[in-house]
Amino acid sequence: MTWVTWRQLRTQALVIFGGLAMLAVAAIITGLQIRNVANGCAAPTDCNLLVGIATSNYVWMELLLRGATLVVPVVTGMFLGAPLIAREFETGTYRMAWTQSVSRTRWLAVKVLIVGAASVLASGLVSWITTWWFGPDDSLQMDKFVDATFGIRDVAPLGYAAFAFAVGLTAGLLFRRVLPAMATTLVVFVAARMMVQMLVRQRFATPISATFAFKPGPGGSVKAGLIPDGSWISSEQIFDPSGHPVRELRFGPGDACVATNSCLNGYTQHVEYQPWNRYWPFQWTEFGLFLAIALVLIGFCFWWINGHRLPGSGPRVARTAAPRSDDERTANGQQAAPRGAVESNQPRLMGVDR
Amino acid sequence: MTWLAWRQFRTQAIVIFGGLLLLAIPTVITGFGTRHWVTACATSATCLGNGAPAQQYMMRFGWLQVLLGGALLVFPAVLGMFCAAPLVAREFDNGTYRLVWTQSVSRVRWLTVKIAVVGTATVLATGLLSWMTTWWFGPSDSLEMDKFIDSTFGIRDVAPMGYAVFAFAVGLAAGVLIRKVIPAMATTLGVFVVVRMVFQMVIRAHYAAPLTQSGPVVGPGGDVAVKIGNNLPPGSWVVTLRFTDAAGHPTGIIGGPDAPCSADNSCLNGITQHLVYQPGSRYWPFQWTEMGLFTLLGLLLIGFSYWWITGHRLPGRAPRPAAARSVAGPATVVATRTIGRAPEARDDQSRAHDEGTLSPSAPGEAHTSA
Repeated sequence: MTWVTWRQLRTQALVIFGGLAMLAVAAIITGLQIRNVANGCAAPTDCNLLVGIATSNYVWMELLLRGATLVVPVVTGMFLGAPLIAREFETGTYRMAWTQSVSRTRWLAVKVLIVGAASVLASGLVSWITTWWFGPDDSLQMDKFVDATFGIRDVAPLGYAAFAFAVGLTAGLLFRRVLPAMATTLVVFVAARMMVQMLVRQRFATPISATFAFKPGPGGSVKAGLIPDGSWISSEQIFDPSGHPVRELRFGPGDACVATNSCLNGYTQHVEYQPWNRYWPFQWTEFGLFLAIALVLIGFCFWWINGHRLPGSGPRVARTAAPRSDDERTANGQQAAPRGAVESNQPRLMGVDR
Repeated sequence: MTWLAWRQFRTQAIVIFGGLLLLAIPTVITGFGTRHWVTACATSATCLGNGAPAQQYMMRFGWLQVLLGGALLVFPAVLGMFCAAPLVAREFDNGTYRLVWTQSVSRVRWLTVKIAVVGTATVLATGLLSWMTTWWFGPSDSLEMDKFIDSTFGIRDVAPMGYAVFAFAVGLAAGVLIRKVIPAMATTLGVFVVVRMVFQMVIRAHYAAPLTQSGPVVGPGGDVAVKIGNNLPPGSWVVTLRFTDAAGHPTGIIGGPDAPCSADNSCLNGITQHLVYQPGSRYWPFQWTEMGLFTLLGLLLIGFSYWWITGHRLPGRAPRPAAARSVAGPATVVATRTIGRAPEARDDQSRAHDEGTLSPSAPGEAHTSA
């Protein structure tokens, strides 16, 4: 079974990991040059500029790594997860695969373990390369939670990969056709990823609230120095001196208070933020959330694959049918296609093979 | 034939255009909202900055920005993968090519109608999405100086339609050559991404000979005149920025905090900078060139698909006679003629042989013969 799975995965695995190897070679060569610059500069202020320049010398590499980490999870979900079961249905080979001595549960377990692990591994590798390559540049960034980087660094992409694989698997099992399953995987993944990024992620932990008074004087930037560097500000609200929220500050150059910089006297600002030291808890939460959904979906697949009639088998015989062998009985006692139905398939199978 | 092409494309068309319609609803609503703020600000004295409230309004719909930009970026590739790659490959994968190519409709006509219906629909869908995106981002784009930047050039105006033609053609050609749906889809994705990146990073800058402005880095008053960029025409794309020293040799980063010249700010004395740029007025010529080049590549690939589909042996045929194999021209004619023959005319033995070799990927065939 392991050998069959590997044999069927071989081409895809070669393409994916071959592509990753090529990407890794380019990333290591250019990444080491950036590191040379980063190690060579003495003063931190100088480093900002030099590392920035060194990184921007390799715009193509930046684009390639960003793009790859962003799409590799969904691509493996589409190309490895979705056809896993759907292709068996579409080509009719499920009849052979599921009438061997290997039970459907074991068949699926081996498939999920090997192909799923390969998907997650691919995303893990590309995320590792990307995180390493952007290391010097990231260390200069203040906010590590920005949408542009959070989902393509460290462990979050592994969770996405597991999720995309599970969505592909489930869609393939439900639709039984490859192309609709792949399209569904793409849409569901993008929707889930966007929802979590825009709505859910900021609720992983209760944000810290703080209220500051605007200081008189020019500028009026109150957050600087009061909120730890690298924090993720999830909401800001300005209140006027009487405590009402202000939707929009309306001061023009003609107002008298502009001359004395007193326009904002008495105003306060309410800020909610996630401090920078929650970065790793947030990464693990993001990873765990997507992984948990993936495991639920995979569990659903195991339940569904055992408990449902397959296309092309005879109509299910009423409950009086003889029980099947042990390994084909599902956990909840529901029975898959009765043995008689499977056996009635044999002449047709042989007719195909001729 | 048109009806058949439509019938087979129906589901995809409903999903694609239904999705576009769903996306159009928030786009239209918020797009008019932005425009409301733009006009309100034009007549109001209390607006801070140029169009700031409109910008703030747009910022509230960050998800729509991501959705529109992301959708248009991947749309051509996705359509090429899901509509074009299976167009021919699926016929091979299912074995249905034997049925469709032995009807009274010639293969050329079959392919023409398919391309006309499916190809037009994919380009049209991309054009609609690009139109929506361009319109929605209009107010903020008008504030941008550089219209050539990579993050917007390829997802505005007409360029995406060229990408759609190209992605469709890549999918078609990959399907014709590989004859299997999933590898053809993967190839479409890979080829499209690579070609798009190469054009964006290497080729686009050469559509027209760039102009150059040179000047000293340090101006007459001793202030650093890196502001030379201010003299460029509006919306220019600075392709490269080079520095040469007093002797005219190219030079890189000069000095550093430890260099002695840093103390008296003399590091940049005598250094000339050269700005190589494309003026903003070339935006539309560049858009049309980008679209034209991708369309041209697409048409070449489509032409190749026609040539290949009519001139080649199909899988499952009896081996070609040895004599014919050595000569290219007559062999092509022989192959075309044999394929034109009705399946009934073939003897049972070769038919069984065909199905035996193809049975794992031909369920439809298996059912009919059972």
